[in-house]
Amino acid sequence: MRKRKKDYQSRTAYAMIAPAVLIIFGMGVFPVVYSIWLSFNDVNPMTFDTDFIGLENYKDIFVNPEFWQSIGITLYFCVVSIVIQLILGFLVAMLLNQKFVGRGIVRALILLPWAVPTIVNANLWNWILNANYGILNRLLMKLGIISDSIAWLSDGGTALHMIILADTWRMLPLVVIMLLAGLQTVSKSVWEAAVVDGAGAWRRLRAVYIPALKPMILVILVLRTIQAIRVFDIVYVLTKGGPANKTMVISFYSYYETFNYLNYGKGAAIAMVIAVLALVLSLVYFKVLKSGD
Amino acid sequence: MKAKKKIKRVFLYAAVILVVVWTMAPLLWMFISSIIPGKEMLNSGTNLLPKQFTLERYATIFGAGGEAASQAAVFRKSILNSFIVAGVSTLLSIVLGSLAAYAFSRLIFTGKKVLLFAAMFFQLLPPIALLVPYYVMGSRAGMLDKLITLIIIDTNFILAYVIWVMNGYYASIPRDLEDAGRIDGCTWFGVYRRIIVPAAAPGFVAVGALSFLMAWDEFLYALVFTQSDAAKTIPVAVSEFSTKYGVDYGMMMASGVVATIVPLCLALFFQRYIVSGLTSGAVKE
Repeated sequence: MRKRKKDYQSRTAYAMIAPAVLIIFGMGVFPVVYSIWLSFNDVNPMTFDTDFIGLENYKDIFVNPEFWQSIGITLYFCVVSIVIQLILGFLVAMLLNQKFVGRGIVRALILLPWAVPTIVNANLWNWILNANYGILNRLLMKLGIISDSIAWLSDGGTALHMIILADTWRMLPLVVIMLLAGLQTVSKSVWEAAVVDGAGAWRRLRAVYIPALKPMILVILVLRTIQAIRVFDIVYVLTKGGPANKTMVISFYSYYETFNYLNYGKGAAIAMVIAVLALVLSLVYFKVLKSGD
Repeated sequence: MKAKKKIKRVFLYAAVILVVVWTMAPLLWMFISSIIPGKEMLNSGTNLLPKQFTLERYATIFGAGGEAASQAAVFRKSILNSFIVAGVSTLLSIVLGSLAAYAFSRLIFTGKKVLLFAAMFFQLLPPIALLVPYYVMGSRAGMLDKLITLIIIDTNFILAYVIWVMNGYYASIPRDLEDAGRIDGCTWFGVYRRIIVPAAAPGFVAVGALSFLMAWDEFLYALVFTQSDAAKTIPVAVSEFSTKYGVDYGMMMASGVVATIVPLCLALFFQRYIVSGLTSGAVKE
């Protein structure tokens, strides 16, 4: 009797998950396996005929300094943008947690940049940062801060930072609303006790806020890392990897190798390396997240 | 003491104004740029605001002709395409994903852990990782330049997200109601339809809104898979406005404003659901 009941439950479960699992296998598992196969092949760009070459593609990638440079640029982008967004996000969330006139409106407004589609955001910053006609240069010149216009996006020193700026403008709201949600869990009594005990701002931060926000900060770290490691759209619009490969993040590098040189085998190999990198990073985070409970 | 408090208030409001300016200035500049007349667009002077305004670009976008008329027509088509792709893939993912998530959350069956892990795996996998196999498969099957291709690809990614988040969401719904339903003789599917779907409605709203935004925003696959004008989605169409002199920033800004309206409404309307939609899969209660 028990056995029959269990069988019935399994059958129901399989029926319920079947459509979703079929799609995930057809569009997920099979393509991943196929991609691994392609990465061991030289693929004819016209006919897509394959020619098995073993680890040749991977060898090519790993001896290429451009590949390592793009890994470095991607990590720099991830670390700098996430650190900046966490710190700014925390400050803004603390600010919006205070009582002031118009708080409800400001809290609604703060979300708006996040609603701007990534590509529209990239176009917008491309226009703002335009060397000749962009509003940023004109504003800075009017204020007398600079005397000559700066080529923000074609200067090797500023280009990547401008990509971080554009990404931060759009993603900061997400960090802020998540931290604001986390701040709601700070119990008022604990905070008041800390004030009564004469705990200064720094101590209150360390003893009250950071512990309360820790789960949310970890979630933000996971979410933002997953998003940052796949950055593509902003780079595609703002710099196309230039100047001199200074903004060649790994996703763009893979895209470029694949569709510019029509080297599908090598593109697949780079993509596999990115996939492994992203998954390892995620697993590390999940371990941290689990141990945090 | 009173003076100190006053100074604190001044700093507080100054900081609030700073945050509002940082948030709103680029948005306002997008809108202002969209209504600057063409000849004033390329102004490198220190006169920051233009003397005149025009709504010509919006007229062009909505079919009144003008220099950019043919690109505007592509953009108009792309709005429809984006609605179809984002709408259909969201609907498919919600219907199939929430049902699967229910089985994962409540029923006991072999292979559950492995399959759930597979769903998570595809949420973590960067889209670029599947671009090459999709492209090769799509080219061989003659599936390039078709909306259905984008719908299938988007559905795969969103489905994994829906399963993962809804699985976390169901965990927060008490089981008592279902047990009552089971005792009353409902099948598992009956319990799901009559009890779980109504109870999880806020979850569907949050996940649905975010899924739609994801598909609306998707650029990489749309870029690679749509080479003709027939299947372009908004992100591809807005990045292509140009004149014989170069990039047509005015039209880019005007089409950008139009492309932002839908997600803006969704974000404002569903603001309070967004945090739960983003975190309920990750933060285990």
